[in-house]
Amino acid sequence: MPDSERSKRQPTFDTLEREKLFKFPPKQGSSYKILNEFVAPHIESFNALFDDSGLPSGDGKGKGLLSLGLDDMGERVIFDGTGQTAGTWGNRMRIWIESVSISRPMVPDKNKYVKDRKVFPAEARERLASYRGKMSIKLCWTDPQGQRQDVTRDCGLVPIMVRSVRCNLRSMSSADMVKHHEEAEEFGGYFVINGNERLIRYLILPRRNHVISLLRPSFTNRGPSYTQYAVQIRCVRPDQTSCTNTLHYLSNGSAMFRFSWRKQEYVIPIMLILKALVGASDKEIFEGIMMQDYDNTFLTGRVELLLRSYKQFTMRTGEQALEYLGDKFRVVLGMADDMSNSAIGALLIRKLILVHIENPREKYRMLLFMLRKLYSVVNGTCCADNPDSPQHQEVLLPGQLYGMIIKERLEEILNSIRTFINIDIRNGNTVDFNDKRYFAKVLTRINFDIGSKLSNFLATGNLVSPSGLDLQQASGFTIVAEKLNWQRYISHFRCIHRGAFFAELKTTTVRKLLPEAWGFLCPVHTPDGSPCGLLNHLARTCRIVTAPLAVAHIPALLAKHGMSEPFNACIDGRTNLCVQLDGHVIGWATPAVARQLATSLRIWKTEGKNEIPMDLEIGMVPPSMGGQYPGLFLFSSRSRMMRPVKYLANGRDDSIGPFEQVYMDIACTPEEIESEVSTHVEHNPTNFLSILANLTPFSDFNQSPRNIYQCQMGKQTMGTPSTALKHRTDNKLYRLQSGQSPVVRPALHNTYAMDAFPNGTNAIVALRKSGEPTLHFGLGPEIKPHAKGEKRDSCLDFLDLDGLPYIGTKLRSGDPIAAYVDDVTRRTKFVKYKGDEEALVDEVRLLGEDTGDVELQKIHITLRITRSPVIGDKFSSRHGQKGVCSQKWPAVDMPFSESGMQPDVIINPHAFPSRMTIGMLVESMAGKAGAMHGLAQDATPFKAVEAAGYNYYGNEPMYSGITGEEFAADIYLGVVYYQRLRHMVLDKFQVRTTGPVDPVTRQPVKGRKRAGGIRFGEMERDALIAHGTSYLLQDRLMNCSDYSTAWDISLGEVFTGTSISRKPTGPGGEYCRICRAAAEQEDELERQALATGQHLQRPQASLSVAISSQNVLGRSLKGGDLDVVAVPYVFRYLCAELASMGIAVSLEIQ
Amino acid sequence: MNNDQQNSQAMGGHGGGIPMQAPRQDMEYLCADCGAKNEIKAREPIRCRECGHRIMYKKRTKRMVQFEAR
Amino acid sequence: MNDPILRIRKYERDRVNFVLENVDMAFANSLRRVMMADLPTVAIDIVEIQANTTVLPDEFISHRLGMIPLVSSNCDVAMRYTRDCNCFENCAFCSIILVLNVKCHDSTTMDVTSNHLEVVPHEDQGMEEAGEEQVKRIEKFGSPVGKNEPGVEPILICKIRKGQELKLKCIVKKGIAKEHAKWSPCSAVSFEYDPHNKLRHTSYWFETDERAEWPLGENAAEEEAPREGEPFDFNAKPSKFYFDVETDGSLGAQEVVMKVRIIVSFLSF
Repeated sequence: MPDSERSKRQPTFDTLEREKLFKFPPKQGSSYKILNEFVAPHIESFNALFDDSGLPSGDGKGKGLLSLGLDDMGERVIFDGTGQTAGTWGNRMRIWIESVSISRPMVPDKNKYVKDRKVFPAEARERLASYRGKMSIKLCWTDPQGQRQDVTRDCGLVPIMVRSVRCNLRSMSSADMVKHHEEAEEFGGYFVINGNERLIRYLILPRRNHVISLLRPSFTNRGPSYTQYAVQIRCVRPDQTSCTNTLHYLSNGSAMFRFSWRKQEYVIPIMLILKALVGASDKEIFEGIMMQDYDNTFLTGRVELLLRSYKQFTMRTGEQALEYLGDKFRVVLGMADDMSNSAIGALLIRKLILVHIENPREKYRMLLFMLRKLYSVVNGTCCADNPDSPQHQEVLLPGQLYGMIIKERLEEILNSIRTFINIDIRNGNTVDFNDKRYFAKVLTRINFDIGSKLSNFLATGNLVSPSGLDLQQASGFTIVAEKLNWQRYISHFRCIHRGAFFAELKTTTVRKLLPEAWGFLCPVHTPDGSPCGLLNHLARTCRIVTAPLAVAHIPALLAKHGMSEPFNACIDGRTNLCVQLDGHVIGWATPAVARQLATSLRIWKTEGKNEIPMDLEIGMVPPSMGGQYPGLFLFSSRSRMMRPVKYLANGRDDSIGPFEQVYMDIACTPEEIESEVSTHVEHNPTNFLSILANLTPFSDFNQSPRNIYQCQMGKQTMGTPSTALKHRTDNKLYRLQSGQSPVVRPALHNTYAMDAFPNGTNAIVALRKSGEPTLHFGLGPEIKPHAKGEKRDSCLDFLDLDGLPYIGTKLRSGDPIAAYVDDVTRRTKFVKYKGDEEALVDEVRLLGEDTGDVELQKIHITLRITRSPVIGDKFSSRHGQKGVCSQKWPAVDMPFSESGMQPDVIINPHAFPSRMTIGMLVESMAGKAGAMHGLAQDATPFKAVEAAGYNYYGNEPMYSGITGEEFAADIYLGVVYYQRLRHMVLDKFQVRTTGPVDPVTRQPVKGRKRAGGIRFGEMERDALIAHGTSYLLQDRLMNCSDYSTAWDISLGEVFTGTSISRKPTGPGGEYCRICRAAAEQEDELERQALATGQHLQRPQASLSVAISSQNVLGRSLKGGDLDVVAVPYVFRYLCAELASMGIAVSLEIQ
Repeated sequence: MNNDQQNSQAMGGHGGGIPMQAPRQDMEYLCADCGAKNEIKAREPIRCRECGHRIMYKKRTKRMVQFEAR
Repeated sequence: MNDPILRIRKYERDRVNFVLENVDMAFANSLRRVMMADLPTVAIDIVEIQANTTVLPDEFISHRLGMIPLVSSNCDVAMRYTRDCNCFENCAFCSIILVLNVKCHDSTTMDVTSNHLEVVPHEDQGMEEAGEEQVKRIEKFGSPVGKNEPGVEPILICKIRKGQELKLKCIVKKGIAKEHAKWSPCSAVSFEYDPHNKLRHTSYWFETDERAEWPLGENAAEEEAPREGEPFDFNAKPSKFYFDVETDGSLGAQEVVMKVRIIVSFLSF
């Protein structure tokens, strides 16, 4: 190959480039920028909480979510009840929170010794602490004179997301990052809680501000005349908290509006809300719903019924409706006492009904739209939407959830202040609003510690919330970002869960892979088993919008281009489609105009004209017969998934969302473009795969489930978890000492820094049939002679003078790893090493406290355990071909090729026909060619396999290592990248001959940790019975289990009852207390009978059990009248239990 | 083992019962942040004298450790 | 059968290519196995680490040290097996001491290589009367192969940066590769017979044309190609074997072949 071509060759190993990057991390920016891009939704959503987020402000005031939340929260009003006359409430006090501030993690002020007050995540990890910053709020209130007072309160330490705007690592370069003990590639996006890295997982939520129609039979159970039809909208406030509103269709033609408040559901007739919103007359409502479609008798009928149903409420004006609502909800909402009913009604509408819209008139329009859609579903002119489809979904971002929790906690603070004051008033305590000290006293009783609440949320993933935050689950929000290897680690930041609620669902429809998910959720990367299809991963190029977009000018722009304004009263609903922007009705347009508008918008946004933002989603749903409800739906909100494609009309890059994608024709490759049909083309045919799925070489040659398995196994591989190993404190860390970069690699291999964290070895693999169906390994002889054991007794062989172990010391089970003096008993205590394997002390950390003035309280010891491969360890190629090492051979015994090459792995060809992993065969051929020529091989899926190097089949004659004879068939030898999985026999083997037994039943205990046995259960028992292997049966269930012996009262009963010889005794004078007592009683009775002449009946045993005479072991050698009989010990136990219930058991030996 | 090992064994006594007469030997630790050497005696706070950092690493032993080269 | 013939085709310092004729397969293969696993060499067996502040853990460095080929010429007689020696633990007769003591004082990364390993006299050297073993040792015996020789890249053990240190003592022992592969003098032994597949021990899989798809190796020139329509001699046995032995330098090709020759000449009687 000429040099000019060589330099262009893709992919390459980039060895020198990588070495340079590793030695000299860039001083500006980071070494792999794409890593920062793919966690952007985590970090930016967290940044969005703060006013100084650095995100574009969109149409808003550029305020952070926390400030917006404070605005929404408003103020609380309290009266001191001093006004004695009825109708007055006394002095009025308003309380509100003016601002929230969260600072960067710092050393507390108490610590006087520190030079640099900043705390970095590495310290939190190493000290097993949390990475937290101080939160404080400014609480304001008014005194009776109306004078504003304020106080700043500390809210504890809240966990800070690493590399967010509140993190000390924020804009550091890779070089600085390394200086602060981080990975050069560190991208953040997680929290450090008690030394663990935890992150909030993406969660799928219904798309915000968009009406979806539902058809659920379960709705009929909600009450009389409820039907299965409803429309639902999840409305989101500017602070990203949400409120779901549902409109149910009743069989009497009217509709009920449902919402929930503090986990309690409320239903209001829709007419009441329509009236209350704008005081609409019946005619206005009728016209608004009908929209000139007077011929539609279905619609006229329903609207008539709707209007009639309202007649039972004798309210005609909007004011009356508001007052009615206010009256009903006064107690529920718990607002100020001096508010009028109509004010409370208005508040209810503002706070809970279509909360994404401010203006009541716009709310009214949206409600009419909802009604029209509802009737259309009932009518059958449009179909129900699929809530499981990504078309109607968006993502709950970590920062938003975090903000919601903070907002709710702040609200709780205000509420509890009011509650405490009210309690004081009720109890007759002195309540003086003029006295600052009184207020301070109240505040001391309030729990301001939001930090610990958030830490607890992140540590457990459990949401403790009075309102439920409009979410369907209360736990499982957070996960640990395990750094087992790089693939697993980065996958955590791309995983997206459907919701814990769906995991329990018996139906599997939610798990289905839908075509709508193309390009957004990876079809390959999902676990198998219970979370299958619920836990997905974002496709590689899928982004999530986190910045607010500037779209305020769009309605006017569209109106200029032919859209009718929304207030136009004489729009024909039959010929006009609704145009909506983020759940606001912004106008109407005929289908042709709407289509034209959609096209124009797309051209403008791709070409950057008219300030149309790139991330605007233009969902043009064309009119259809019974399809999706038509309209032009524009979305500019946050948390939508978007992905890049190429727009064919002008050849520009376009960004599309799942809502609009359904109505697009996107060609996968330029060759697939059909003129007049295709609108877009993919940038790359592999873009629909997740990062991990993209890394499977030649995955297009494999049977699809094998690619799914590889995505799982890639995440279980022992590799290089970190390059900052010295500063890691993970509970278990697997490290492959000599990882290699794969010869066969997809183009994307090193895009995500995979070569910085090697995961396996290029192994020479021979395909050869042999007895065992699994893998054979010949990675060098590993004979380990038994070490001469010198017994070391003194603790000083292990421990230094400070009581801590010497670094590098070998430890065996039971050796001391630390010593300390117990201050109470004044004795030295030892901590022992409990593992079974030989360990080496790798690192000893002395952990101080934040304040820097505490003596040593905590130490952290890292142990190193070497695990060279042994028989039974699990390995896999990158094609879902896993297996355990079944034999290790000395080098001389391994077969070899004519060139003297010996395979590292021998794999049985039977592994291929049924699994159909052709990709592995292609990989081994490509690997062979690559290894022979010293080149990296491109393994990108959906790329035509180049001819060079592949026409030769790669078979070679091989010779037996044992006899030297040539094998009868030529054997395929190639190079395949192998991964060693973390499942190792040393962690799994369970073997037992004797050992601990259960104290009650005397049967072996279970559990590997306790040296227990594996249950030989009923089905296993059945198998032995079926095989007639009675000796085995006896052995398993009796001899190896709870074998015990008991005395048998010769030929009679063992435990109870009587015997032939009246008073049998054992060799040592043992006797049965019952029979002895019975015999004595009988003697007594007989004596009495002799005396009185009466004859009495003997008592009978209540239960009799037959025991085989084979169990009788014969008479005791030492003499006596008793036989020894073998019985399972549980049987004795059963007899004792029965006896305790007054049931005597008699045994008969047959 | 080497000589000072035996010495310390002689001084340290038998462990277990009586608290050891802490020999006035300097235990040196390395600061996790700035790498400075710090002598920390029993009951002294864990803090770097140079930078005030709160994590210390124990220094590697000078004692010989034997391994099989396989 | 005629006398065995050993014909050397190519000879380099650590590589030899030869043809062995007039032996049966079992013999040829056992020769291969002997070369790979039964020729004694010396290798580092025990590592006593005194200081290691490198990034690599102790046992990993020990493992790497074990794999370094050491000059083992005349090892048969120049060294005793520790198990055969009457010393207490190890002595000058059954072991060699290598030390490595490196500390980096520069601000650049420094390579610790096999060139840093130094042979030092055994502690009890000269206390007993010099045994015959020591006399038979060549000067470089026990030191890493190619040490300080021009044009030979030393073997990298690890890399250290400023302030890091590696100080250790290695005890070198004699052994064979049956116990551990580090004692194998050969890095690869290629072995072939019947290049034309006249004996039909194997069957070549082919798609259309066997001749076109299976190129002949260079050993094929040594033997007569089968004539068209030649009858299959099912009694024929392989008698000509082509070897290519590559050593890691611990023994050198000459010594390997010498030992092979001794074995061959033994068996020719």
